[in-house]
Amino acid sequence: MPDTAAVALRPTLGFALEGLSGRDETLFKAIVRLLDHRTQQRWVYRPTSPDLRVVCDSGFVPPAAADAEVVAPNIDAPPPLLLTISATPHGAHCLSLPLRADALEAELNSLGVERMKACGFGPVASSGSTVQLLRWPPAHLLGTPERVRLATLMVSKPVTLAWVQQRAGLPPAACAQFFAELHDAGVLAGCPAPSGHAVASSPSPLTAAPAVAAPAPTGLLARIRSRLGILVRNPAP
Amino acid sequence: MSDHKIIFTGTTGAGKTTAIGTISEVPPVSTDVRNTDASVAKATTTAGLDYGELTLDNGETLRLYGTPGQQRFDFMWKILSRGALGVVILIDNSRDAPLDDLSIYLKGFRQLIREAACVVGVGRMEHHPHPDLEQFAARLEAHGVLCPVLPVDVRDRTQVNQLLDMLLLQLEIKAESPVS
Repeated sequence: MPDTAAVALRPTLGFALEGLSGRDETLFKAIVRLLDHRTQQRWVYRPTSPDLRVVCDSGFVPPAAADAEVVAPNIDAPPPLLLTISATPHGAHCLSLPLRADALEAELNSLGVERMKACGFGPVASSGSTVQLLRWPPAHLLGTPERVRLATLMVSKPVTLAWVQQRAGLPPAACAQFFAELHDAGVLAGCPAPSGHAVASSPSPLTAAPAVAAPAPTGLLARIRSRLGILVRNPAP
Repeated sequence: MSDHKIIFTGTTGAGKTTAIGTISEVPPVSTDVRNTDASVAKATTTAGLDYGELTLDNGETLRLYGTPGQQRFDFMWKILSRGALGVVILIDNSRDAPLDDLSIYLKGFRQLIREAACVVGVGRMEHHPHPDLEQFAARLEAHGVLCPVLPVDVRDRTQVNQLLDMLLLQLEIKAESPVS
């Protein structure tokens, strides 16, 4: 049985359905809901800006036309992945009719990982790829004090998911979900430099100019926190 | 013993005096005078500065300075900024042009913001939701500043503490070694 908290904090991905009969659409959505406690990502029906287009062969819409119909004009987002449903399955990411839950689960997990990688998250980010917060996130992404702190951790310099996880002391899935939502909102970008150390050494806009004052000693900051009664939830490593 | 300071700045009526009073261990010292500015609905306004302090456990003092809000006192902003740990910018969202107000302080405290840390608290959003936080974030971005911007009620110690928490967190990150 998966950890309930971890399940609740999984990254959310959206799928769109094209060319399926009303019955198959209902069945597909029902199976996805049934699989919700098993898949690595949380999948929701999202006809606009989907991460995954599920296209039935019989009602196949040419990709260009389909893009125009279902994909929001976010040219920065990677194009959605494709899962084909066919009476005569062929090639990768293709399911046969009638739908089978185990086959769909395997495809959703495989495509979910692929999508997270395409967005710059998942295993790639955990292994140390560096990202930069471009601006303070929209309020709807900052619903909890923990998320406000996560965002604050990211304002001073480029960070890695692993570093944020360690510094914030939150579950990896929570941080990954936050990263994914920031990315979807267009306020998080990958840093192009190939070396993590080189990127980390690059100054952020706030630190680009030579600092006149030395950084405040962490002992002082801890004393101020203590005096203010602010809990030090995540002491510096 | 070393002394340290944090600056509270922002528009007249944004609550700098109240914010300092919320956390200071001594009654805040204010140089308020009778308000003669008809556009501001308050009896007194700070013409010089506000002052509060906290004694840390090693005997050092954290001084809390509230700057006068009016831009004509901007010469004091630079004086007060010297050696400060960071700046809390308080904006009164019920004013005519809160985003322009923010721009004034981002320019006035540009050097401190760049070298230390900054957090923006927007007050009275419950009755004056526009501009929203997204617009404040965009204005910060236009000035090349990336820092937290949060709604705040400065009468609530918890919320003032949260602003300071965000300020201290930025300072901690800067004091740490680069991300590896």
